[in-house]
Amino acid sequence: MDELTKRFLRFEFQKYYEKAEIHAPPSLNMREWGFIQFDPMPEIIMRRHKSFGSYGEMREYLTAMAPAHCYYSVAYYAAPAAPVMNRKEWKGADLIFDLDADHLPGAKKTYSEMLEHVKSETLKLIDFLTDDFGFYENNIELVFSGGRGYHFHIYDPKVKDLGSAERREIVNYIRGRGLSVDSYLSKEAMAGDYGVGSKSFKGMKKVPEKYSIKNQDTGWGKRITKYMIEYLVKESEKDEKERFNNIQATPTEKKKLLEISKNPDALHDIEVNGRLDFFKAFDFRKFFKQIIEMAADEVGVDAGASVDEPVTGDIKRLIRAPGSLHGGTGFIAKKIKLDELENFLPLSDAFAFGKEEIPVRVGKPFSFELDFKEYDLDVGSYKIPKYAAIYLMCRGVAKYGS
Amino acid sequence: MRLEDIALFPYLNESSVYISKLDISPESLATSRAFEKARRRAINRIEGVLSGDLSKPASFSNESEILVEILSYIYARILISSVNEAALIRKFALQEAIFAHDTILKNKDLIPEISKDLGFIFKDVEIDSVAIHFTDYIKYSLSLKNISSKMVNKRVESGFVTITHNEVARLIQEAIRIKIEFSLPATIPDDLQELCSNDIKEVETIFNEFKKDYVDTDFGEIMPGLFPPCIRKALTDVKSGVNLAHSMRFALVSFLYNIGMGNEDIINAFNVSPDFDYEKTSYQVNHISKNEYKCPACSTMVTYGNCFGKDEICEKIKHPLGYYSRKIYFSKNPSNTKTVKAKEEKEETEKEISKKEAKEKEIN
Ligand code: SF4
Repeated sequence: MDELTKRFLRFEFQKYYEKAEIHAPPSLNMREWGFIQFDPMPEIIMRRHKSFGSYGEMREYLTAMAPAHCYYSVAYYAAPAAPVMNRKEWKGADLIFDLDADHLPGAKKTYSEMLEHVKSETLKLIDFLTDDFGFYENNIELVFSGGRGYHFHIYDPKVKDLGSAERREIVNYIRGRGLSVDSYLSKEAMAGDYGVGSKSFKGMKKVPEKYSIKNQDTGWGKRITKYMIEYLVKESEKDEKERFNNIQATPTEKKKLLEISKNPDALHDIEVNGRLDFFKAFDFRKFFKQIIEMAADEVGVDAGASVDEPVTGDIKRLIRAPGSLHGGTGFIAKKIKLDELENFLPLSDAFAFGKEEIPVRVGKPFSFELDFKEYDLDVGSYKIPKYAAIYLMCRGVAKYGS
Repeated sequence: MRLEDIALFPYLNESSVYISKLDISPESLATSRAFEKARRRAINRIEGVLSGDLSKPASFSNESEILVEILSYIYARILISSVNEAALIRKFALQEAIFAHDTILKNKDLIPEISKDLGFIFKDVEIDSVAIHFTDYIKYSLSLKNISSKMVNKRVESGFVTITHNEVARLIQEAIRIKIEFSLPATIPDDLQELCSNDIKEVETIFNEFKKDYVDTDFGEIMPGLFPPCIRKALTDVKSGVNLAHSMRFALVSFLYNIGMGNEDIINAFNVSPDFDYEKTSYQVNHISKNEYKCPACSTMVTYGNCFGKDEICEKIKHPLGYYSRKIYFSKNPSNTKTVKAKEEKEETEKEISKKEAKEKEIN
């Protein structure tokens, strides 16, 4: 980045911070802050161990310095500005989830496609946070990261003192790791009409067994049940050749599965009562095991194994300050209400800068999409909307000026 | 809480409040003739802890007996803090916690009160279940290794995990263990230590006695380089994705378990092949550790075709564990290789194994 571009960005960021709506995190004076500047130096340096006693002090710093990136600690410290970690005295930390397209499996799509994918994972996660963990909405802060994903900050005091191992266990939960068939399938020997002592039982070598799903009304039990019903319906609508192809089952078993999926009463009984007695025809355990595996993949939050877990587990990490600007895009790390996520459009709603056109020189060919407009720029000089120009400068593909 | 319960669970917050109201100074506890019985009981408690059997009175006939029991806990803490041995502190915390666990199972009415005292957030106490906040559940279930204890396999609803009374008793055990372990050692001023010096010495002697036996039967740090050839081969196979025969899998897991490897570490040893099945592996591992199965002897290994790469040490032993302890012995006493002493060691080892075998029969 050349000097002029840096100065320009700094100036624009400064203007933003003068007027921006930035909230201080809870317990501001217990947080450590870290900043990266649009510095003249070649290498990127993070200035850490900074702390603010008051909201005014924090604002003043942001406006004066206009940093490219600005982070604060998820942890609360007694001495946040102490220069070494073990003198800071850890007093707890918010619970953080970082869903980043960078780390999602198969992330090689366009920017907006990646963001769409992360959004769907984010919606799944909201469900876990409110339904399973019972967090109140006002303790959940959802933020578009300004880059490739979303952050959740959970401020519930009950999670504050959880250690890393406990936090990783929470991640295991939302990913559906370690789901066991036997915890969700109950099996009883059948009594009554079809059971021991009845006419039809005579001559049978094995006592017939009755299956049901445990906890089909809540948590993972509910997710698995719902997934199973959707799976059955979806497969039943396929051509015969394609049907139930992704599971291991004999032709007779497949026939039985089809029968059930075409029977609304049976499906209803599964959903409401977890009843599975229609399955007495075959070894249901095998089928259910496959369903659980697929459910964990599809319904669990697909937060890249390599990243989300360490982030959530890292109780001393820094996280981008909500309301600040992302120096790699020029977008706002924007807070979003949970019910607004569905309709949130990161590539227009998170702009910090206006539409007025300004001059840039593009250094290498670059295609991108912003605010529903597609750009396909070759090397050369252009006049484009300010938000797009700043985006290119932050990405390092364009310089300021004509 | 009843006074009796304070005596049985003296580390609870409610107990601390009661004790501080008694207004007995540590100095008088350490010296006054009136507390002689409490001091004796404190040492007796520590003996119980080290022998793995901390028993407490089933009932108290009068208030002064209760007081002895309560004060003996306080005095035991003073002694243990002065001796300041990590192993002793751990054992002390664990035995108190296990006692609480067993007592609660016999008297489930205690569950709400103790849970509350430990700071658990819970609701819906039913005949055999209780809903506990997931943060408490996670905190105190982390050490439980079986897959069915994972939160992902529990009934979870709006922040609460529904578990049985047996399960909550297990969480209480863990919470108490952590609470006691982290509260020790307390700082004991020098002049107080001076006043208790005879009792401190006595505890040191008891502990050293215990340590002798303890170290003898413990394999200590795990040294894979010293594993017998059959086990080394099995580990290499696992790493390269070769499926082990069921009997070899059993031998490998039980071997690792017998030498003191934790369940989770054993499971991780298998977590290298692409088709690693967490559930299956952890089921097997837990099954073996729960039943304390012992690794099969060489003769059995041979029968099942699991004896690979016999070397000269194999000639001298009858059991893969014997191979390992022999190697450890040599690695610590290199000069003794192939001397008479080695022969003795061999006999020792075999004796030890047959001792263990006898023990195992007892368990079955
Ligand atoms: S002799 Fe025993 S220890 Fe040696 S390889 Fe065979 S089974 Fe293993």
